[in-house]
Amino acid sequence: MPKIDMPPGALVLLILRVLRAGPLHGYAIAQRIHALSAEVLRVEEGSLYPALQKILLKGWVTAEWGTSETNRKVRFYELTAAGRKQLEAELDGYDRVNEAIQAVLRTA
Amino acid sequence: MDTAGGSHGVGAELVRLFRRRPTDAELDRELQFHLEELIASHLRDGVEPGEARRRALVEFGQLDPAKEAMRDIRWMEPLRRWWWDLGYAMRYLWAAPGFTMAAVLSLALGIGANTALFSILNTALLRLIPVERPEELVWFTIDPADGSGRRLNYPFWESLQGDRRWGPVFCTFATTGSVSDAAKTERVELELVSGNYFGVLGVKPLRGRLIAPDDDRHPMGHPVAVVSHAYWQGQMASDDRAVGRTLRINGTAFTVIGVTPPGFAGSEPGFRRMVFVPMKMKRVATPGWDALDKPLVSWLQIGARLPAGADRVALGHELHARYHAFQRTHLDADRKLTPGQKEYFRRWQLSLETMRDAALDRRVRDHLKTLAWVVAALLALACANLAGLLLARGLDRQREIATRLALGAGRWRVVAQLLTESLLLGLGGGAAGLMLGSWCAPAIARQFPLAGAGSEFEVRLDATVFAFTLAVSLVACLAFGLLPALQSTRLDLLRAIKGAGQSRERRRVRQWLLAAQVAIAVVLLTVAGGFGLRLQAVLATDVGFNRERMLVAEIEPMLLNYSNTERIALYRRLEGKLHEAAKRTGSGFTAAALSTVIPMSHFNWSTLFFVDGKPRDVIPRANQVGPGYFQMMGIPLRQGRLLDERDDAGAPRAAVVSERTARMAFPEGDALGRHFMADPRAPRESTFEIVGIVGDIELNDPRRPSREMVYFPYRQWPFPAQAMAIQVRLSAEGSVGTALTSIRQAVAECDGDLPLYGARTTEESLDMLLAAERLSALLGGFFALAAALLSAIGLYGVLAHEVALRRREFGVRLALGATTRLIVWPLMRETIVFTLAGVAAGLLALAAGGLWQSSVAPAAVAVLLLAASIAAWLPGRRAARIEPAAALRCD
Repeated sequence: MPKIDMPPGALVLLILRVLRAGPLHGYAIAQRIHALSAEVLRVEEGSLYPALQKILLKGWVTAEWGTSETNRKVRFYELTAAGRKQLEAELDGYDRVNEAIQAVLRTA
Repeated sequence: MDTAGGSHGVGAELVRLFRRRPTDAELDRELQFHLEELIASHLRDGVEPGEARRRALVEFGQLDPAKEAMRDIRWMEPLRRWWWDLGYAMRYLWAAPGFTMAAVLSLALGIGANTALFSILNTALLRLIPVERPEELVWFTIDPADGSGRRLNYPFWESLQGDRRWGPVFCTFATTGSVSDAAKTERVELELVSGNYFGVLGVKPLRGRLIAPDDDRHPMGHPVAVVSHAYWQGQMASDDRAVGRTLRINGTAFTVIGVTPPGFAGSEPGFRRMVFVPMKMKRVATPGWDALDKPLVSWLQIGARLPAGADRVALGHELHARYHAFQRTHLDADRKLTPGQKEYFRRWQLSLETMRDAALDRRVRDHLKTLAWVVAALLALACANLAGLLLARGLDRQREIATRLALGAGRWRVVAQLLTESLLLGLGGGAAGLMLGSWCAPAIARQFPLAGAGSEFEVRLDATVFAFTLAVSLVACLAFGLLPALQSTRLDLLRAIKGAGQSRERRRVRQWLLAAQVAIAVVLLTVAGGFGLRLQAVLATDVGFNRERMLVAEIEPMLLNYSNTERIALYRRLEGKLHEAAKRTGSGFTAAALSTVIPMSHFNWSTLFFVDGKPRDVIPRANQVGPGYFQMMGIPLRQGRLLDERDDAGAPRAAVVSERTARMAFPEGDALGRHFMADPRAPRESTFEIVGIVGDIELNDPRRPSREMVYFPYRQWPFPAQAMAIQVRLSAEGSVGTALTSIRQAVAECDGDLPLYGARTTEESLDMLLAAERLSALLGGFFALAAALLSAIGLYGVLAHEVALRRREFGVRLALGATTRLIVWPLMRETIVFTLAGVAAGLLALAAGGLWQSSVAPAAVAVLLLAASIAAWLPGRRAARIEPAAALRCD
């Protein structure tokens, strides 16, 4: 299985992005990122949960205990308005940095 | 929605701080779910259960780091860590008792000195008068202070009644009177008070009631008295029926109506007022003058309790305007005052001075300020010791700290751990310091010149003192723990783990600390030595008369309503008896004389000096003396003759002047035989012929240069002085007790009712006068020695530790044939360099601070160098005695 290290800061962005569709629990977030990245990006659980805690404390998501598809008690994370704003800001910033990097990579 | 399932409330966090389980259970549940989902997904892909679990675990990584990382993010986490650090620090300090003791003792000394001084200040400034909210109380004060200080007049006080701008305004006047209580007559400190006095101060009676506004309405209409708790306990033997008893004050009967609570002895700290009477009874309390109706006689102290939140300065300005508006009409109408005197009244600046500030006179305050610097320096020294010890300790722990850093502990984590240890040390030192300080403070306070004779000065430890000590300890240990902590965590890991680390930089820091300690100690020793020298110089000052073996006691016949003629007759009779007794062996004294000025006291009189109707530019001190005075005092005659029996009432008026007076008033040197006038309002009665010139003396205060003096025969010029001092020269074998008995007997033979009071030797008067100097010398000396000791201990610690650390190195070098000299000398050289650097810095600081004293500084330096040599020699000797074989085996 190909495995690429997550660039720093990207994990938060990805979490916020996959949560835009609706509340998910931790495992589902990891799976979604893994699947959406065509199985290139693998989220280390050791960094996923700390990142979730950080986002939680920033107020970008809320967490609520619910029941999983497999009928287990689990915490669902849901994007807040602040989180949505943060996501837009980060996406915008990321796009511009990305374009800049691409430009350099193409021409240099 | 409750975020994170209710796990982020503050209360929940607090609970979790000491109880880890509930959160961990939540975490576990979430992570466990994740793991199981991973396993399930592998199972769905058709992997064997065992393999699925293995793969899931590999993918998941270790469970615990994830949990740790999650914990790190919680905001209470630092506190929890700190709780662990505390436990660790306690175990660590417990395991190193020598280090802990040294650190705590150093701190205890520094903090103790500060606590002692602070608790004295706290008491002196804040709580000396046991009244309600003393911080609101103010005196109406006149600047410049060389004017009449706080002396105003009664009509002005009356004019203020009904004006609430300054809050309730009271007035008071302290005096002394003879108080007879059935059996005996005593001279007692009296306080005349306005009717609202006790009410405004908020004093509640212990027995009966206190003087109220209705007790102070009509002149001479209220013969009632309140006695102080001390008077009730002492003179009245705690009589249950004290209220209702009769006291005769200056011959008039007063009824005791109440007793003040314990500790209350008037509104002026340091004095012990015994009996309080209404202001309107003033004529009885001060026979001979009343002045309640005189707007231009200044004698009354006026005070007020300012309304909450009042602007003291602005109210002071209002008072100033109000006073001058009041005074102007009276000054304009007055015909007796000279224009110069009126000008003097007009110059008065009135302001409001808090009673707290007024509690200490400027000189005592200056001494306290110096002492405050001294104890602060001592604390700095103790802290430097602590820092040195912590640095040394850091060296020992290099391997431990390096290992922790290598295992991944963050640097700040280790720094926090080290700071926690200093914090514990600081708290320990603070507690020990508090004990030391509270034990020392009363002993120091007993020496204190705040208090008049016999007054109580109780030092109490209260919340303010606790807070002060706590703050000092915390600041000291954190400020001085931070540097070593930073030093200890910045190290070369590899070298440290191998045990080779002894960074140069760290040694430098310790050496600079050492130099700083030496510098502080030099300054303290010099300053303290200066105190001692100054005291010695004052004690050795030639005051111009013989103050050895001299006993003084006072009588005050005015209190028994003697008239002027009766007074002079009494003195003459008494003089005869005293002179007889002086000739008799067994009386205890060899010479006796009367005068109105008591040697080494604050009391003195001055006189104007007119020659041929014009004032000379000299205002001499005046003393009224009886025959035999100069012989008894040992004041030498320079020209002419001394005063004797022939200079009696009715004889030509004759006076003696001191050399300085003669020189200043008659620069041509023709003073003898000339006449001068002392009071232009009574030109005939106050014109005297100068019949003799005597040596210069300083009668009141050996710290001042001698003043011009004029001596009048008391029989020819009765000053309004109320008291007469009996002075005798003790015989070689005579004791104070014998002499006092003889004097008492002589007085009793003249008037059995006349109390004799204020008996003291001139040495005792001088001790009282110099109490502030004595205290400074005593405490300064003590603190300076402590400073020298502390820096010697610091030096010893640094060197001993270095020798212990380099034992192996020395052993190897000795084994390779190095001489002892080669080993010890470099060690000594560094110490000497840094000690000398410290000495130089200390001397520079002295010069910069204007504290340089060429007679003390060399001695201070010598003491320090000696202490430093001893402190350095001991570890040096140990280094020289290292046995190579033993040293090499030990590691």
